[in-house]
Amino acid sequence: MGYALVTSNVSNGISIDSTLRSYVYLGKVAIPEYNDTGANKFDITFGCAGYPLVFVQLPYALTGSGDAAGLQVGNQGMPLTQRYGVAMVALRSAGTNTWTATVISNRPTDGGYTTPLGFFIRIFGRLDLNYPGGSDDPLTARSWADDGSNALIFDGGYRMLKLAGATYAAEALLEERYPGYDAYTDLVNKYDTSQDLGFDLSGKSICANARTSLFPPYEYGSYVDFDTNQIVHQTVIQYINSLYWANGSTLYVRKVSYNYRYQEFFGAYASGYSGLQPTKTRVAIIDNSKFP
Amino acid sequence: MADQSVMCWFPNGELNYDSSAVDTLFFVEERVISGANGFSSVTFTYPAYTGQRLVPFLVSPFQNGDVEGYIILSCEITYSNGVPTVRVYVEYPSSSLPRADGLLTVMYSGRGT
Repeated sequence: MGYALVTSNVSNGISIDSTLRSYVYLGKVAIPEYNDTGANKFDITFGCAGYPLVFVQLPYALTGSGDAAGLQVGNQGMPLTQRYGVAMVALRSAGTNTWTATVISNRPTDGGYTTPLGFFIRIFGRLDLNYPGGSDDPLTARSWADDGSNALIFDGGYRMLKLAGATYAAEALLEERYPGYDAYTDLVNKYDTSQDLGFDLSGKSICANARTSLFPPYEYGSYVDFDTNQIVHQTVIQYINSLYWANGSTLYVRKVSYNYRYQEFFGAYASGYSGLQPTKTRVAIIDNSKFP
Repeated sequence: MADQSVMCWFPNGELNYDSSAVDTLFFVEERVISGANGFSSVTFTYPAYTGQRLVPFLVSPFQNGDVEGYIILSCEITYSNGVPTVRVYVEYPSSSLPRADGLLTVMYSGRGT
């Protein structure tokens, strides 16, 4: 039996609690630079015991980042290419305590926009599973869980997860829209969303552990296969990612569609257009300067 | 500043931590969402956190295949009678279309709803 420690912030939110598992900064990894236009994906591998929280650096007021131009709706796709943004689109276990994050960054195809330089993802892991190493400050506060596990839940010698604001109550909502079905104006106006978070977003990163990939299928056509005498449904899978960028205190989430593919299958068509849910993304922001 | 707080400095004098000024996230659980077909949404409730604000994060795809090949659409949290309820929606749960594959992480904000 240990001694319980609970602290609160000035807003009466818990900041340390010896019954809870907290997160610690494990380091940052550069997003590779590139020279290609369009959507580029990078695999970034790093170590973390247990499931990591990944924060991706927010592009801030970059040249071209505010551009809404280039939205084109065709019957085979919706190349929303003229817009800048980054997001993490996949996170995979790559072996014991090793993870691979797939980060997507979209660089507009014209207009002389800048290649992102010096962008990082920042990694946080549970302190009870990870010890960051480095200098071990003997003159700091530490706390262990009081549940008998002796798990370390706070270490003042390391950089514990500190959010830049209580933004986790915010929810970025992207409404469902269908290329080739919804009106063009709806696609233009409702494929993006933005929120004023009330503080300057320069030099910040956003929690990337959010579903940003969206692959809405829609029926493109059908024909009868005379070999089998069955109806073949042709479906288009649209590859869409929600990318982040920021300007001032406003966080923008924008959809970029960078590809599509066809898929054909026999039998009854599974669903109409009505099943696609809005994308709801929770928002958690950190200040990069606190996690060098 | 709160009346009492834990404050920690680095040897270089940088104030690293002030518990009166920190908002953070705590681990609640992580859960793999997978399946080739057969469900269009799945719901998890957290009665132990009744009245408290949880924060769900959903990464998709998580483990299988390429980035483009798998579908999970969305997760949302609601508070039914104060009980945090996380629902993950899966689009087109047909075996003919890409599979569901994602990892749900639920965090605790340290705050009430």
